[in-house]
Amino acid sequence: MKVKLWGTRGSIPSPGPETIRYGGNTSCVGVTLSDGSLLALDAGTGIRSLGLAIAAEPARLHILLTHLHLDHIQGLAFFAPAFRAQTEIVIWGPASPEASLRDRIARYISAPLSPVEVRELPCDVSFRHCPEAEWEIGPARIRAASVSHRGPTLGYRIDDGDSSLAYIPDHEPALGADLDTLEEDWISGLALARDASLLIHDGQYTDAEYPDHIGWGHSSLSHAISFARRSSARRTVLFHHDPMHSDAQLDLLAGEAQERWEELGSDPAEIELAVERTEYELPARAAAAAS
Amino acid sequence: MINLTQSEGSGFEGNRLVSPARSAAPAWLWQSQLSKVTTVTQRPLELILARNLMSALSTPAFLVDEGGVLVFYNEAAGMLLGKRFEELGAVGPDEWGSLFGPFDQSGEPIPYDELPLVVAVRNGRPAHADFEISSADGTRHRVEASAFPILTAHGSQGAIAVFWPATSNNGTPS
Repeated sequence: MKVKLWGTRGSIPSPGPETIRYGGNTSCVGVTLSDGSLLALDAGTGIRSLGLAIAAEPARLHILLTHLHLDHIQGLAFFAPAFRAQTEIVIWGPASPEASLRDRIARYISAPLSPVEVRELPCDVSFRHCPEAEWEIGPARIRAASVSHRGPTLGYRIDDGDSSLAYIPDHEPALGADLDTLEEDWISGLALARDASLLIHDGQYTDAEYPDHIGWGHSSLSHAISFARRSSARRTVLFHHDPMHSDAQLDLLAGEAQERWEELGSDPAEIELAVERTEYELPARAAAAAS
Repeated sequence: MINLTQSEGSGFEGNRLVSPARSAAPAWLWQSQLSKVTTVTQRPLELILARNLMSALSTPAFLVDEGGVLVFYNEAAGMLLGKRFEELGAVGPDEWGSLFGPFDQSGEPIPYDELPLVVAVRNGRPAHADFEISSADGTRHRVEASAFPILTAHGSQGAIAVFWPATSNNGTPS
């Protein structure tokens, strides 16, 4: 399984010279399965670059949405494969008692917010609510679970052979909970992340910023570290950077994350901050290696 | 260079990261070296969030899952019962009735099927009752209990009951 980060920023695109290294595009991760099948995790503005990077093939691809906040769907209307008649796109996402996934996405891909409507997309697009049970896409087993964020939100786990990716980009598992002492089955998202080859997890706030953002649905550095430790994931990538954080600030945050990881007795190379366009190849049952 | 200070959190001051003082390794770190958990399943998120909320309340509150198993009660409930949840752990529907009652005004045990939590879980409807419970030291407490089901997109996932000191007709605690 190969993983590439196309958008690492949270909340709102943040282009500019101060964010050029970590990136300014919002959430999107491309996943190439062992049989070549392509998945996109979320469709923030990063998916525009993903769409430009893939050729006319594959004819079929899947987009797995964690939730429908704008920073996770904003790139959909600018995803080049959606404008190819020969492409089949399956969009998966959380169910809601309020409206279907298609109708909720159509609120964005419709006038006056968009120049095109969902029904006008040339591709063959379908919308599916994620099932409670595990399902398969190509050689991969996919699991989705509701996680602690604002509104219906999912985290995903993708198992392909012996390698596994856990993707929980918007997550506040510590809301009202002590991650260091709570039983494992009571921690939001932990079952998805357990022993993953690679965990991509929310790390939006510093510890000092978090008290002013309690309940906003995101993690502090300490919470992300606690969650990662309890998951026993082999490698952790902190994701969904705050739009106010410059490259220089994220460098410092990365340094602190690695220092604290080492203090817990682990290899500091096992934790890092997400950098746009970074690729990972997940070997079976071994530490992932960034290219 | 990271600057360690005495601040409680870590944040940026300009481009300088301010880090918190470090605490000792948490208990789970060394515990995990003793027994490695191989399979973890997540409780329904609605129950997780309910437990988190209840943990922050000063009102005695109880949480049961869809099977009627008492999966959590908060500190206020623990004070009422004379036993912390951490001491008792999750207990099935047959056990928690026998542990704490409840009893009607004549001192007779109330049938399990009539308890507000059970009504809420089974029928998916709110329920309210006035009864006595017995704490661990045998003290009886008269309470009013309001229970409501936790209904989700996947159906009923459990129920919450909140206890209040029962009041007399003039509104004072009885």
